[in-house]
Amino acid sequence: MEKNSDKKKININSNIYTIVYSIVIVIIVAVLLTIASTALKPAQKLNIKIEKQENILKTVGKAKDAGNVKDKAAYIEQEYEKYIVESYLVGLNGNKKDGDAFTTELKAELVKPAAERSLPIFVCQDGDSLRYVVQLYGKGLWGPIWGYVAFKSDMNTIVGVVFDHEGETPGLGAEITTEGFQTPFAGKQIFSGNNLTSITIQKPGGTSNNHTVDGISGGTITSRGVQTMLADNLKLYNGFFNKMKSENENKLIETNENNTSDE
Amino acid sequence: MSNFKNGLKIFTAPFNSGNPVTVLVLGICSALAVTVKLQPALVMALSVTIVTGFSNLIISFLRNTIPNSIRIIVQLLVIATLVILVNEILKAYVYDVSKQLSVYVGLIITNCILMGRLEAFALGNKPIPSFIDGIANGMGYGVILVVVAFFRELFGSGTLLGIKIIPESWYVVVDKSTGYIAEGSGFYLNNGLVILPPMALIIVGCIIWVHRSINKDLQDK
Amino acid sequence: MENFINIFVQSIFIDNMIFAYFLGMCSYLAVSKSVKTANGLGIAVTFVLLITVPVNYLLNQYVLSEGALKWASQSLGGIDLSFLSFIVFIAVIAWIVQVVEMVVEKFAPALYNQLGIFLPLIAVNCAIMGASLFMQQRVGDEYHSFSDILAFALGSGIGWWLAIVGIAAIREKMKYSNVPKPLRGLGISFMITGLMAIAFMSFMGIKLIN
Repeated sequence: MEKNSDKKKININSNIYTIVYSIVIVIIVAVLLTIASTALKPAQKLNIKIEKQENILKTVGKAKDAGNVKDKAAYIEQEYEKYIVESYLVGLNGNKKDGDAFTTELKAELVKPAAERSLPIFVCQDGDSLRYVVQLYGKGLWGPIWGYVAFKSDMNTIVGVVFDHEGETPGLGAEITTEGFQTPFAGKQIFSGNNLTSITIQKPGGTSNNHTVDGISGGTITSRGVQTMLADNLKLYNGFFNKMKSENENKLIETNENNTSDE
Repeated sequence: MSNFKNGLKIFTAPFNSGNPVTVLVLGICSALAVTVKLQPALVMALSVTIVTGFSNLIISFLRNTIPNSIRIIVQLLVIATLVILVNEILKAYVYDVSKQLSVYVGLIITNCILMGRLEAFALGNKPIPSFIDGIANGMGYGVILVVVAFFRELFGSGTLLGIKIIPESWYVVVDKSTGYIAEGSGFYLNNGLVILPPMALIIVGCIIWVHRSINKDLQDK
Repeated sequence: MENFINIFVQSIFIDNMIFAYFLGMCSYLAVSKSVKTANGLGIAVTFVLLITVPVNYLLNQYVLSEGALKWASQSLGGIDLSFLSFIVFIAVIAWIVQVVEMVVEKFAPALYNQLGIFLPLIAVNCAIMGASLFMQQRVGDEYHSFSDILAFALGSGIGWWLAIVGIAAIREKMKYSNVPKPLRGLGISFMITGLMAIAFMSFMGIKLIN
């Protein structure tokens, strides 16, 4: 060692050299990474935001051209501005709460004690009718699954759903993201009478009714995860559903009264 | 001319007798889970190739200045930096793919090919040959990934890069009212087993089988 | 406690590092020719996992993730250092492996003689890095407390240990089988691992409690 390094000007194995070398390397790396991270952060944040907006829009059947347009981000943002007229947070009792619905992470809310949870609601204006989009979060086979469900203003009939997952088995559990699984949800009802029955995911091929949807063959555990997620999360929103329903009924009575008085 | 030949030799070795996966048993860990579909496998192959190439290049430039006692740490630092850059870029520009790769991008750091090539080649060679060696090894690794992904996507989902290859009319359709196969429907079903993790290993086993049948020098005694 | 057992069993059998995620395959294939050495490596991996994952968890919770520095001062609350996590994790792993090696050599020379050669290998074992990355991904979703993390680390290690001892035992017996020549060694090991993984898939969906 000594002989080798004697030939050169600096002894690369001396302690001082080693320390200086490591400090210089660490500083270079740190500066480089910080620059890269800061420069790319906006693009990364935008991706996440656009994905969420796209999912919300998909539940109400909007933003269909997202795959074809050149500037997807701008298109989604524009559609979102156009259709989503309002978004707010509600508590378990259905009363509005302070805060920004879009940046609220349902995942974080579900860990909190029940009374402190804020649940996001996105209201979509589609022609004359209003659609209410609620958020879901649950567990699949390998990791978390999440999604959005849009309801008609009767708070009962599903307009559309979107599910996504982190690491379900491609071709099996991951099929929950496909239209084949999601489309049948449209038109299903989550209430039977006044009871919240949610949606049952059944084995493919059985007799279906208003409250059942076919699961994925081979993806039983993920299908069951979706069912549990729907049941658990919709239960939380029940307060909001009931409140909206009674408001709707009042409105209905009012309009009926108006109608009768007109006649 | 001899320079060119030498470069060619460095470049071609990893595709045959020096293949990092099937011969040297390096770097299998971080990759087999991304071979269900062709697209993530291609991105993974590309990412690994870039990281092996540039880490070899950088370490080769630095090879006469690195103190021996912190050699491994410096190598890890260079690799980790490159991997973080790749990860950040994927997240910013191909978000969908980066979601599919999830933790496996981070696992490029512990991909044995990287450390293996740095120790075996870059520390003792000039920058340009080192760079070629790195790129070639990354590609040699990528080829295996892509072959595995090709079979798994084709037989598991009937698609390649998301495009339907096996015609819809071939598929068996079950008549829901009777529960039997509908009349006039096809004869084909996707093989669900190929999608599951174990089949990746068995396909790699088959690739090794074919490779060693052709190249008899590599067979175990 | 229920959660602990649940995560522990799940990490061993269902989310097995080898059979479900292919992590640590390099050393798994290279060091599985005899049960004795496989056993040594299995213990070493479990040991290192049990230290690195909790340490990286603490770093992730109190230094790296977004807003994690709040405990130090309110003004640091907005800092997000998660882009550094790869580098920090690998540095911690390399460092702990080094420390463990020195400690074991000093205080338990007999154990060192058994494990010694494997310890340096472990720094680049994907299972170790993979466990830290999975921990980071799952924190807040599935793992909520320090004991969950311990269960995950211990379970992952034991699962890996089980896998490598299993394949080593099979490979020892395989000397007496007539395997086609091109498949001998590496090829057949891959295939057997595949078959073992299929067997392990039957554990899928098991939940002990709730």
